[in-house]
Amino acid sequence: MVWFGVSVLKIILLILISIKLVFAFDATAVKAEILSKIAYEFVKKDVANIYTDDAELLKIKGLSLSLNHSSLEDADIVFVTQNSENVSIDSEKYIFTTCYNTFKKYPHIVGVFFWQKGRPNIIIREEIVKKQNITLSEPFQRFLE
Amino acid sequence: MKNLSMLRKNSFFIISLFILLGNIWLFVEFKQVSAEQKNEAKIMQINRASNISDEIISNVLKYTKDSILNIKQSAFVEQEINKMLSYYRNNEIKYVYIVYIDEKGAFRYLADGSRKIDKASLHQKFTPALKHLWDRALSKKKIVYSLQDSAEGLWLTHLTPIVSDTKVEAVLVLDISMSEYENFHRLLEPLEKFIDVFVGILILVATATIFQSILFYTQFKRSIIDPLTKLYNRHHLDSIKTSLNNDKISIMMVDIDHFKSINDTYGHAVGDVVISSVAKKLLIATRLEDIVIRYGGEEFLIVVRSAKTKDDVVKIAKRVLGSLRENNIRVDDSLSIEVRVSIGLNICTVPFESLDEEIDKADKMLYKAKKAGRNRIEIA
Repeated sequence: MVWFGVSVLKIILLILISIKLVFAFDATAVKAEILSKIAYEFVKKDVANIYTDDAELLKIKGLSLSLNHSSLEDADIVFVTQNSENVSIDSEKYIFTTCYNTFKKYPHIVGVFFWQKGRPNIIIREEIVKKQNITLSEPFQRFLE
Repeated sequence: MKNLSMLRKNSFFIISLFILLGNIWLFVEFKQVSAEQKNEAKIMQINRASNISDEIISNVLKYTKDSILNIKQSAFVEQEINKMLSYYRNNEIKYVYIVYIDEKGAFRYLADGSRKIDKASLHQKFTPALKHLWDRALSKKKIVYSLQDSAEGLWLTHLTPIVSDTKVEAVLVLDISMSEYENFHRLLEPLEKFIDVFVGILILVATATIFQSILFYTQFKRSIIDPLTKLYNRHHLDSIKTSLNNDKISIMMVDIDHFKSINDTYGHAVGDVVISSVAKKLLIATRLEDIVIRYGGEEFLIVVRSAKTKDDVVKIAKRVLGSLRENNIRVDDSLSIEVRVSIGLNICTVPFESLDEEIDKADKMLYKAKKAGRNRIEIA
């Protein structure tokens, strides 16, 4: 009888955990989706090579089929953190940051993607977009600064 | 008895229908109660947020005097306003900030009472996810709120336009955190979703079972109904055999006389018309409780039920015979055929041992009627 009770409890627990796993809100998945949208907008490739040294963004590895995590050399688009040694790299790659102040500080950085007040924020430097003749889709126009 | 058997046959259909209706009712009820409770909590929270917004705006305007945009002029004022806004931050109100509209129509931070990790700088661009909400607040110059589903840990966003000389200078934003009530509901959300899915699956299964039952019933009906005459066929007789065992019944075997020559003379199409016409006449001549079965090619079996006396059964047999004697069968405008039948009648004694044996007796009587010159009834 006790054995039966324990088994039932185990099954209920398993069902609850499964429900939680299936329906839980996943902020990392949201980040992965936004990141792949940004990458597609600039790189215009179905699968973009991305490099990031941001620990939070590294969690998205494997979550998006349109993002391929590569080395800095092979990357099409780079996301650097505030303290990154790659923050001032001089290259033709699209450099993004995950810190607003870093974005303000370095004029060569194309844009910033950061999480503030529980929501994603994107700001893209209009000057660079114009200079490099990058065509942004309508939804991305509102992020121009 | 018959009703009970019908009920048994359709039990799948009936149970599925009950499950389906029960689920739909439960689902609607559950959703209604849940929506009502959520709405009540939402209204309470909005009223509270509106009162706090009024207080904040009045305090900020006292500080900035003529225009709220004066915050931009002095770092000290900015700091003081930020500090003031931060006082309103609590478990309920997660973020308090003021956003102004620049000359290009873009939203920018003017003051922010958030913690350091979430604090935005003065003039930092703010791109609202719910742009239409902001546009409504600006155009109507009224409080606007919306439930948040794109921000982490937030329940709703409350916008209060700050108007100066009929112009909206800025918007005070309160991001309301999930209240205890809502927190509880959020915890239950996976369970609610599970119930949605579970009920959805049940509804799907019940609907599928209903369709299967209908399909089964259609197929079953097709398997016991003769397509030409629309009478029952021998399969039906097999399925009701056991239920007839204790009944007071008589078996009547009816065979169309000289059917082969009708077929040979006029062809099979006319033969089919004759068979279906005879079937109709048999149905008219018998009573509702009698069962008329197409037993073979031109052979019919009638189970006469609940006849009170032997004479009643004979009367029915005579009516059958007479119905065919009365008129010829009209195939089309130019052709009518004289069709007669022979009848073998077995008035069963109750209880009888086997229905097959009783049928056999009726069949023997039919053979006797045939031998005796056809177009007649022979009774066992």
